Amino acid sequence: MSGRTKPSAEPRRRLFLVAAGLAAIVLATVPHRIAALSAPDLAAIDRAWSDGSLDVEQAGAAIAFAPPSEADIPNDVFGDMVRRGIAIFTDTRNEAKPFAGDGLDCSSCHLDRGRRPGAAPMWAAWVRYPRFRSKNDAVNTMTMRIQGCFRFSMNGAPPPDDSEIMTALQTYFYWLARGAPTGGRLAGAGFTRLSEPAEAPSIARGAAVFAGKCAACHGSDGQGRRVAGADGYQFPPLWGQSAYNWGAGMASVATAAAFIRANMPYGLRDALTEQEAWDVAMFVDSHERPQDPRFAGSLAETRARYHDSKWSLYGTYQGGVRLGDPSNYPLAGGR
Amino acid sequence: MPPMADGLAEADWGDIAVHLEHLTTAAYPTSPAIADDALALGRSVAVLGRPDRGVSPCSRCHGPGGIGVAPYFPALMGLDARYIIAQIIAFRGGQRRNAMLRLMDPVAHGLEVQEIEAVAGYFAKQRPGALQ
Repeated sequence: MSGRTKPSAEPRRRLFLVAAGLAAIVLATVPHRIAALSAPDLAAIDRAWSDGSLDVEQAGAAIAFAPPSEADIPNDVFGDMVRRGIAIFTDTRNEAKPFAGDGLDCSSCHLDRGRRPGAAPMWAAWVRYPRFRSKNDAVNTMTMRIQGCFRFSMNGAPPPDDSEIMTALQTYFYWLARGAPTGGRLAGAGFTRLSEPAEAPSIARGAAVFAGKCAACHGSDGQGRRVAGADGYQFPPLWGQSAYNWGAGMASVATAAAFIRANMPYGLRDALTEQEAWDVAMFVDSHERPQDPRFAGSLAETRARYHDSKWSLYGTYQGGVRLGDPSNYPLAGGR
Repeated sequence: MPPMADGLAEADWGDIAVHLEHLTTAAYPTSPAIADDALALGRSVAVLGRPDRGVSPCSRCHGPGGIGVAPYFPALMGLDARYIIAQIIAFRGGQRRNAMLRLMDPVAHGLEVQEIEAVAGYFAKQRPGALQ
């Protein structure tokens, strides 16, 4: 089972080329501030993308904050946009179809509809943007951040800056964060980084953890589980053609381990030790997945530029397969 | 079904088969009516859970409307509300311990009584393709 086919990938690429062409014409003829409205700046997104979920400044005391109840979403035009944002956030595959490229929804990682502390909650993220990031030596907006998620974690295409999808998602985040101090470091933000593992993470030990505590939901083949008759995943695929691509934060073992330790198995607390989280993250991220859309022409070059870390297995040999080799999967998503 | 089947001795299989063979068909008992506010409370528990009390949303594992996610998460859709209540109470009391990774323990312990009744009533009312 290789997941959803992508018959629309080629027409979409053509659409983008046409759009890019139009943008070039428009750029030449109208003031820049108008033309800049919608086309995502892929180069800027690429440079900004990294283990961003861990990129939470640790200085200062954390501030306690709880998002409002969904029962309090107002029954007006603003409230309708909040609800639209929730629908996109929780069923991204269907509600943002042209841009979502894999089996994941926003809420696959941002658990409990982006509300859960320790699972990169959106109320904590909202108050931290725009922010300077040394990664690309520039100020990054929330829009760029969301576009990065679509491009890498959802192996899709970034929704345009002024699109309804972008408006709805950011309206939802703003509503979640209402009352939180702008720029504040909120308790539960991001994923809590783990300290270095006591023992080097082991793929073999991770496989045993996976079989015992993860496979029931994600499948022994890591391909997730669907509801019969529904176009979506109940439990997301973790590797293979329908999973997050090599450019996603979760493809870093350190990010995956932090997420897993705090949040998995879903519904249980402290069910895995830190070492088990490192081991199973190593196991999950030792499988092939869609190509990094920043692919620089060669594995070595792409690894040097974006995966120069002991926590990325990109470009390494695992079970006779060289991860990220373009001949394994065609570059289908991550446009 | 695997957790159910795993809990049975081989001799039980024959007994169950004989029992089923001798059942006569009867109209499925209707669940007690549920008030609108209880249905809303039940929906809220099913969809949002009660994360502050360690209660995951039911639909996260059992699927939208409790349609069930094979092979480990049984359907709740359309079950008799009294049966669902009895199971949650049994998980809470430790009489039932066969949930995958004992995932039901924090749920059963974290819910309040009126939430258990409401969420049972909510699932009893759900039908395929017509979530309420």
